[in-house]
Amino acid sequence: MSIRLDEKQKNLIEKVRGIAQKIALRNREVDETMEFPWDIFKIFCENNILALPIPEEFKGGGEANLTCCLVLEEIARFSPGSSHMIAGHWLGFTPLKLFCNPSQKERYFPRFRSELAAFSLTEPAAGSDAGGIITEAKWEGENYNLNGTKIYCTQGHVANVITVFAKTNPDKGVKGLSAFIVEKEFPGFSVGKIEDQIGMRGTPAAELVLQDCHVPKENLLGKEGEGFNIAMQTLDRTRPKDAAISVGIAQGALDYTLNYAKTGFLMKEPLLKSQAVQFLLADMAITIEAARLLVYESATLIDEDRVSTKHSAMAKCFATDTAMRVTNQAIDILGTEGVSKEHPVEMFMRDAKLLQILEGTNQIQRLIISRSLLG
Amino acid sequence: MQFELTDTQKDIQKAAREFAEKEFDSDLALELEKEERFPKPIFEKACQLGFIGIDYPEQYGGQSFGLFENVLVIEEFTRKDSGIGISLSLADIGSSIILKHGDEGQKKKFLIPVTQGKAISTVALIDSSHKKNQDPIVTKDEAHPDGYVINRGKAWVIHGSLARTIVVLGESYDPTNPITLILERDWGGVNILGLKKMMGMRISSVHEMVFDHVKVPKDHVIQWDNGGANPLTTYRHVHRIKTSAQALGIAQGAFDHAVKHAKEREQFGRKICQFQGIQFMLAELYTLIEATRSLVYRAAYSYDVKSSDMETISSVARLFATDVAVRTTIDSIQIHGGVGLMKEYSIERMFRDAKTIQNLGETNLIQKALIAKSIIS
Repeated sequence: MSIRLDEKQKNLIEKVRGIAQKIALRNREVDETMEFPWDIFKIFCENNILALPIPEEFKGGGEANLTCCLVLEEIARFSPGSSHMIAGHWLGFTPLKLFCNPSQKERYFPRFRSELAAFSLTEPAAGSDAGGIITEAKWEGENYNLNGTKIYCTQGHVANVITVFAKTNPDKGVKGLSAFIVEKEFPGFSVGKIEDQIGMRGTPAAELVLQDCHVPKENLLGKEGEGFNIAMQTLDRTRPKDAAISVGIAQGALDYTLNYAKTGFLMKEPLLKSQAVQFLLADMAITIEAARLLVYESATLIDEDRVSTKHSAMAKCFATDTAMRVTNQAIDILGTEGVSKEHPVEMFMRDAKLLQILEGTNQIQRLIISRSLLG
Repeated sequence: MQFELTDTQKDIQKAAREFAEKEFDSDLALELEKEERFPKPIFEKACQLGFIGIDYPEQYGGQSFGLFENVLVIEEFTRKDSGIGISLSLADIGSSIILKHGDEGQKKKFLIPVTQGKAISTVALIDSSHKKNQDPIVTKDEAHPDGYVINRGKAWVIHGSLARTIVVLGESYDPTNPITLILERDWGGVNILGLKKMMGMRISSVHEMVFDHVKVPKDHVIQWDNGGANPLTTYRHVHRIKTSAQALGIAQGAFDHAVKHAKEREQFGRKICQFQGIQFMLAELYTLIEATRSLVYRAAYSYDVKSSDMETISSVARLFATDVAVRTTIDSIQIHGGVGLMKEYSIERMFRDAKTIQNLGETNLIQKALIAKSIIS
C-alpha cells in the first residue's frame, strides 16, 4: 500500500496547518485555564472543519475517514487539544452517521456543522467492560425514562447532542444496551463534575447526570438491544482518529525537538553533534512513520468498506504508545527545558497519556487484537 | 556483605513512614501544588523530629547518621507524596557542601538553623556556558583583602525565594585559588527574578536568581582542601543520590497505588489483578523497583564510606532510578485507567514530578555520557 495525497487533500492540509499554527498558543493557554475554547471552536465552524465527515447532502464536507485523519494529525502537530475537540465531536457524530434513520438525519445532521456532538458510554462501574453499565432506560408508553450517571464524556459539558448508552433490558448484559440521542435541553439532563485532568485540558471529560430524563421514542438510535453493536461499530471507526492525533503529537514533538536541538548543548557540545541524540531522533522518526502508515491503512480500510476491528485497534494502540514514547524522548533531549512550561513538549506528553486510555485502554486494544489473532 | 538494614535504620524508616502517613495529606498536596507553596509547617515538624539534617553531626543539630539514612527518609517521604517529599528533601541541598567542605564556624552558623526549621539552604549553580564576555564572575574584593565580590551571575535556584543560605557554585573561579562562596538571602545584590513554571515539582519552586555585585566576607568563603573532592563534585554526587532516592520513593508509591487499585477494581466480573496482562505489568515494575532500591542504597553507602566508585555509581543510580520512576508512574496511570488521569488522584502528579526530577539539572543523557566516559577511560 502506498499513500499519495491528492491535490484536494494537500490543499486542505495546508489550510488546516495555517489554522493549527495560529491557534497553537491559545491551545496552550486553555491547557492552563481549562476553559473550553469557544474561539477555536468558532474558527473550526467557520472553516467547515467540524462538518468534514458530514455527508454533502447535509452541506457537510462528505470527506472520507482518511482525509479526516489527515486533518486531525495536522492540527495535533501544533494543537493536540484542539484536534481532540474535533475528534470528540466526530466521535459523537459517528453513531448517528451509521445508525440514524432518514428523519433523524434530517433533524440532526445539519446541526452538527455548528453544534457539538458527544459520545457517552463510560460509567463508574463500566470502563473497559460496557456490560457493567447500570444507567437504565425504561419504556414508559411514550418516552424512555433514563436514570443513571455517566462519566468521562469528552466535552460533554459543552455538547448539544449526545449519544448516551443505557440498558433497556438490565438482565441481558451488553445485549440489553440501547443507544439514545439525548439533547442537553431534555428535562432531567444535567452536567455534573468536570474533570481536572492530566492533558487535553481545554476539552475535559464531564460527568452527565440523568435523572428522570425523558427521551422521546424518535430518539432511540437503531433498535433496542443494539447499543453495544452501535458502540463497537463506532469505536472501530474512531480509533484510527485517536491514532491520527497521536501521530500528529509525536510529529509535533519531533519537529519541535529538531528545531530546538539546533541551538541546544549537551556537555558543551552542540546537541545535534551528539550521536545519542541523533539516534534518539532516528528512533522517533522510525516509530512515527510506522504509526502513520498503520493509521492511514486502518482509515483506508474503513473507506473501502472493509473496516477491520483489528487494524483500528492496532493503529490506536501503536500510535498512542508511540506518542508517549516520542514525547518522552523529546523531553529527554530538551532536558530541563523539556519539562519547562515555556515549551509545548511537556503538554504534548500529558495529552498523549490521555490517548493511551480513552476509547478503550491499550490493554483492551491488545485483548481485541489477540482475540482476532486466535479466532 | 550484608543485605539487611540495621535495627536503627529500620526504626528510622518506620518513623519516616509514620510521619509521612500522618502529615502528608493528598488534598493538602493538591492545594500546595495549585498555589506553588512550600509546606513550611510540615518542614518545621520534620526538623523537630530530626528528619532534616539527619546526616549532620550532633554538634550541628543533627543525628550523626549518614546519607544512607537520609535516603531512607527521602524514600518514605516521596513514597507517600511525591510533591511534599521532594520539597522537603530539597530543603537542605546546600548543607551537604558546608558539611563536607566548610570550617567549624560555617558549620555551626549555617547547619544548625536548618535543623531548627529556621532556614532552608540551597545551591546556585552559575551557568557560564552562554557567557559572551570573559569577565570573571568572582573577583577579589579590593576593599577587603580576604573577601570576594560576585560581579554578575544568574542561576536557577531550587527554593530560591525561601532559602536563607545559598551556596554559589560555578566553574569560572580562579583555578589557582579554588573557592566556594556562601551567600545570605537578605544581602544586597541577591535578587529573585521569575519563577520557572514546570510540568511538575510545583511544591518546590525554582526561581531565577540574579547576583549583582554581591560582597562576600571572609567567613563566608569555603577554601577547597588540596587534593580533596571539590564542592561542585560533592554537590553533584549528593544531588544525584538524593534524586535517585526521590525517584525510588515515587516509583514505590505509584506501585503501591497500582496494586491497591488492581486488587479493588472489578471489570468483566473479576478484580483486574486477576488478568495476566495486569499481573505481568506489576511483576515487571516490582522487579525494576527492587533493582532500583539496591542501586540507590548502594550509591548512598558508597558516599558514606567514601568509595572510589562514587562518581559512576551515583550516575548509574540516578539514571536507573529516575527512568524507573517515570516508567512506573506511566504504567500506574495505565493500570488505573480513567481515574489515573485525574488530578484528584495523586498518580498523574507523581508522573509529572517523576518526569521533572528526571530532567532537572544533570539529565540522563549527561549521566550516560559520564558513565560511558568512566567505562572507556
